[in-house]
Amino acid sequence: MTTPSISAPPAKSQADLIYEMQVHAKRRFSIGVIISWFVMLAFLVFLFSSTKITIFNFTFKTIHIDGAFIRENLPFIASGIWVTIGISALSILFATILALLAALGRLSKFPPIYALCTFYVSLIRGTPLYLQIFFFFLALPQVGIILPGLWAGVLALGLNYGAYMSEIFRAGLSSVGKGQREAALAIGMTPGQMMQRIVVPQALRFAIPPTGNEFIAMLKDSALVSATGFVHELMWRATKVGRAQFHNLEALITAAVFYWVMTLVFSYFQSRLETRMSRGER
Amino acid sequence: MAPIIKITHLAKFFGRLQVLKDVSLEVNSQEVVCIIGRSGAGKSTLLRCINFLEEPSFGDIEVDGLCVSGGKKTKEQRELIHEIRLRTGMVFQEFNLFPHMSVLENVMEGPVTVKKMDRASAQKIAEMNLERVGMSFKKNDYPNRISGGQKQRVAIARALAMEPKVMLFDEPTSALDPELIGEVLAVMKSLAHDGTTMLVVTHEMEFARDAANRVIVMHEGELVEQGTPAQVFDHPENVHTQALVERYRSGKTSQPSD
Repeated sequence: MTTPSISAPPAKSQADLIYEMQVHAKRRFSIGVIISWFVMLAFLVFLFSSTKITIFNFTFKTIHIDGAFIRENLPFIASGIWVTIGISALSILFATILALLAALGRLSKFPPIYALCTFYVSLIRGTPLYLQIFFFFLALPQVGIILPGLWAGVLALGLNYGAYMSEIFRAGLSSVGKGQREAALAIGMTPGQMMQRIVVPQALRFAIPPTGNEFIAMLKDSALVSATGFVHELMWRATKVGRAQFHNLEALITAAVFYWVMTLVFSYFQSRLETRMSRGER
Repeated sequence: MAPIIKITHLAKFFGRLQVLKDVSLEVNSQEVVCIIGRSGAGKSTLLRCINFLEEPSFGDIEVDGLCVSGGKKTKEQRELIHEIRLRTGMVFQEFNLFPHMSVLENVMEGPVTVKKMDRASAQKIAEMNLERVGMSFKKNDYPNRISGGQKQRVAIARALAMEPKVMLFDEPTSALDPELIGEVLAVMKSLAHDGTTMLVVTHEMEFARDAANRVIVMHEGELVEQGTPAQVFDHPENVHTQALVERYRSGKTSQPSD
């Protein structure tokens, strides 16, 4: 018997061809999106590049920004990044604890506790965050409670985000099925053990990715704390140098770039966390 | 010898709907009792009243000498209910394994958290019970990595690890693909063979016939007939039992679950 020499690669099946087409289509789309992004970014840069353009006999000049001012003040503004991240991290920690307590409290069969949680959420969601920050910083001293700007900010942001995030945790708690609770009770757990060992760990897994989103939102809302004038985060620094030298345009653009880049970086980690959490599980 | 389970004049309402009407029942030590009946007959509710996953409306539940009456609960009675849950093991239709724990951790969870056993002893007990249901080889996997039949076997091991006086099975094979039912029934048969006291709600007539000492037939919230498998399947007296057996004989061994 002669064995046929295998020289030609095996022919592609129709399924292979269809699959390849789908992969190509997907890749073409993402490449298109990336190119378009860069075009828009280039346009934005061009808009602020003070370039002269002549169309027929009309001459335009795009917006001029003072590079020297930015270079000079960059270190001052940039040093606010860590303050911004610090405030956001402290506030999100505080908010997470509050949100979990508020969500658990809403499961309570004891009316005052249930009422306390709904009251808190309603009050905080019914008033502006800006007002809350001023309340802790400006209004409390009138009754003798004087908080440093940083703590007033963290308290206000934490309370505010805690109220909103309690909904995330509530959804997390209700995502844990009735069967899980019954299985826990059936092996003899007390309701407390059931919450601690079975329900809350599963709810937290559900709630971690959206909490990452809240942190990213918090990074930007922390700019409101600059209004107290005592927390030297990004926004405060940008407005300080911008106003002093009447270079608000440059200062705010610089701060905006910092916020944007921070958001991009944290969003990247957030989406990685999300895919990791969604894998496995059930 | 006193019965392990003694139910007297149990009634249960869901809103205005009465799903159990004056049910009385005893299960003795080492007895295997199967409850059969159409979907909606109240079989599962009856079973769930025994460990108070459903609150009985009226009547008494006595498990291993601990008696709790229906209606409002005092603190003392809540403690009795907890004690009853410790002495009963339950296997659910939907397995209800804890998805955030490995197979081994699922089985260790009761001994560690509830019995406050040290981890080494708990692990020994867990491994022994996984061996018993033939699931040791998957002990480090998470529940999402194993089949439905394997999940149910782990769930059985989890209940056994608490060393209950009686095992309650709530349609343990109704959520399984047909080819996976056999392995679970085989485990249950081996438990029955070892003298485990079992109360099984099932649509598996074959199993009831082979493994049960006694078969109970329910219809619309009442016990309509009980006896040995031979009596119930070969000489049914009640019309509802006759209809049930007839349908079984004509080849429909399982029905959609409640």
